[in-house]
Amino acid sequence: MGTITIEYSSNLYWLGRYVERAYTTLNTFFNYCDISLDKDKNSYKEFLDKLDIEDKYGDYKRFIHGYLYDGADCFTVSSSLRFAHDNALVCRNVIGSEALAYIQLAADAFHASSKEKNPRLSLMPVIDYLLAFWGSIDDKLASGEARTIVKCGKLVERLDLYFRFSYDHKLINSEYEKLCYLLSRVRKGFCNARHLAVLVEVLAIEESYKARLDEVLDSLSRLFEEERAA
Amino acid sequence: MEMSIATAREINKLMARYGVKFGIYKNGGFIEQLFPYDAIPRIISRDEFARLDRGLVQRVDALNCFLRDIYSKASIVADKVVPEEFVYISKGYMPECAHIVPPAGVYSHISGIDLVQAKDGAWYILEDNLRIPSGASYPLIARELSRIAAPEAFSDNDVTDNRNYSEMLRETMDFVNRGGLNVILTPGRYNAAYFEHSYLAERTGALLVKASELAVEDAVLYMKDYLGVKAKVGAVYRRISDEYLDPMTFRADSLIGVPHIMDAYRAGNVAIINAPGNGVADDKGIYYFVPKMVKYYLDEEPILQNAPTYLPYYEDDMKFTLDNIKRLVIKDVSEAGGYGVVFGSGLSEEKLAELKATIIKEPRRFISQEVIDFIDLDIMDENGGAVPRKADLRAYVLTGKSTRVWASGLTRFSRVEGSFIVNSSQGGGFKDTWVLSR
Repeated sequence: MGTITIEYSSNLYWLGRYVERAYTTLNTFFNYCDISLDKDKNSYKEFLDKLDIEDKYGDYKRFIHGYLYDGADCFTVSSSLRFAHDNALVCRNVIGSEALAYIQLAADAFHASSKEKNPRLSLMPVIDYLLAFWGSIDDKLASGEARTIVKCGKLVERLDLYFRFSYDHKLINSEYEKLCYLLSRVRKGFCNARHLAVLVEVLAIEESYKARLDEVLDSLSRLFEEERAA
Repeated sequence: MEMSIATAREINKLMARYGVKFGIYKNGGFIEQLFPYDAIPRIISRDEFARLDRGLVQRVDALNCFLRDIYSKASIVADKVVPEEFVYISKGYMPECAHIVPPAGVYSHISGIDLVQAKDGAWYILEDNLRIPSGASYPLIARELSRIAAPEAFSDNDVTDNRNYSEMLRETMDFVNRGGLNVILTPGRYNAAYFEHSYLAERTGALLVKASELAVEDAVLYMKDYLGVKAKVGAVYRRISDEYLDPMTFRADSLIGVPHIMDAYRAGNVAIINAPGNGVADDKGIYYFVPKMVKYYLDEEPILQNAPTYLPYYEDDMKFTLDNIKRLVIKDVSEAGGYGVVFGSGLSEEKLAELKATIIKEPRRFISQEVIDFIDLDIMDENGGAVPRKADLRAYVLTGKSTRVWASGLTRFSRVEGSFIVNSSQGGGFKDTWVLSR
């Protein structure tokens, strides 16, 4: 018997996803910013395309500010951090005030960076705080079950983004193995066996996931949801 | 006690870091804001606190006796110490709670007693809060953070460590627990005191739950985990008011209550902290009778005094109130949170006449009190200077195996010069309360 209710399991899972979404998209965003410096100014379009986000920005400069800071758009980094904070706030008693504080600090640093000229530089503390959040989860979260759930969310989000950005199969497999390790530690019934089987099948063959991207993303997103609903 | 503006800013930055906020509903929306914190502490000497301690324990013990009596034999009514009109028409009296004896016979586990100190140094009780007194988490975390930002303040002064509140609270819950988990029942994220709910859950190790995560089966309360496995709940520190607690017993339209939780409570299978029905004892009308309760139940003289209070219900007090209304404060007994408090001195002749007419028409609805010119405490202004502001003190008294006073409290102050309204919902701030250990 655990002491994590359905709502907490959902909040913890999505906390992991949104923190990771902010972290990985920021890092990927930085890569595209770097490419845009001296190569393709339109590379940001590819970035949006991979994330299934419509290009409403028109040019690189507007993209940089809009994709980061537009709080009204649910796909932006600003929104990911807000959603992460919303989920963390209701999990304070599970994750601890210290871990929650790192999300708060990341959000504060993020908003402060919007006034700076060089977002890449001014956003570095955000990355630091997000990593500190994970350090706090690893080091201080007393409930192993809660830690596993929040990290499942993290790895599902990471795999989702790695699939979308066509990351190397080895790298994806390495993250997938971490997810499998976590799944071996959750109680029976938490993970949906059918969707896990799809992942197993697709990832067994190198590069096959690119051909079956929609299917693999769908199974990944439903890896926990359906089982819980059932 | 010196505190620099730089240190004060550091403490407030830490407050923001840890999300020390409270929520208010304004213009149809929910806003969370930082609770304004003033870094200059209120200081209470050891001897002064010892007297407060004795008086508060005595008062809360008497109030617990009153609740036990009112919901059983009601001998205090039969003996005409408290008129029955003041009990049975009180909005806080719950006939559904009659003849239910809560676990260990404790009704008010956590009592928030509001006091003020007059300029002559005497302390007066302004109000008893025996339903869901909130606010303890703020001085608790403020102390934690002040010790980080201003360590010298604590190494140079003999301040009683107040960080044992969560331990006291856990012991209180454990004492009445009927076997099972301790949970804190919150209405949810958009409650004004949500920070407190989550912080106290973290500190006490209790689970923070919403009604949807609890269910009653065969008069036993369970929490269901994410795989549907049930665990028995032994004590519920509920942060939901009585009328919303159980839609099957109280308000049927409550969406934040737990259906049939009163069945589990009635069967003695779960403790509810504080007990439902406590509102009858912290009714502003009943307040008048608390010193009489001390004599009646404990056969002792009250150590702490009420603010001089008049009940227009009594003919003499009605006359006194009407004759002296300009210098009295009139309180609507059905209001809380600083609302329904009117100072006669602030009303026009026309408004005074209206108020008098209402008091004559509904005498049970009001009490009148002498305005206690309570002391001002220094607060730090934005330039680091000290300005005086009215401040009260909410003392927290916990009853489990015994009744104990937390050696700290919530000192609330008005941020408006000359104003007596200190409530956070009306813009007030708070400061730490130091009880000196020597």
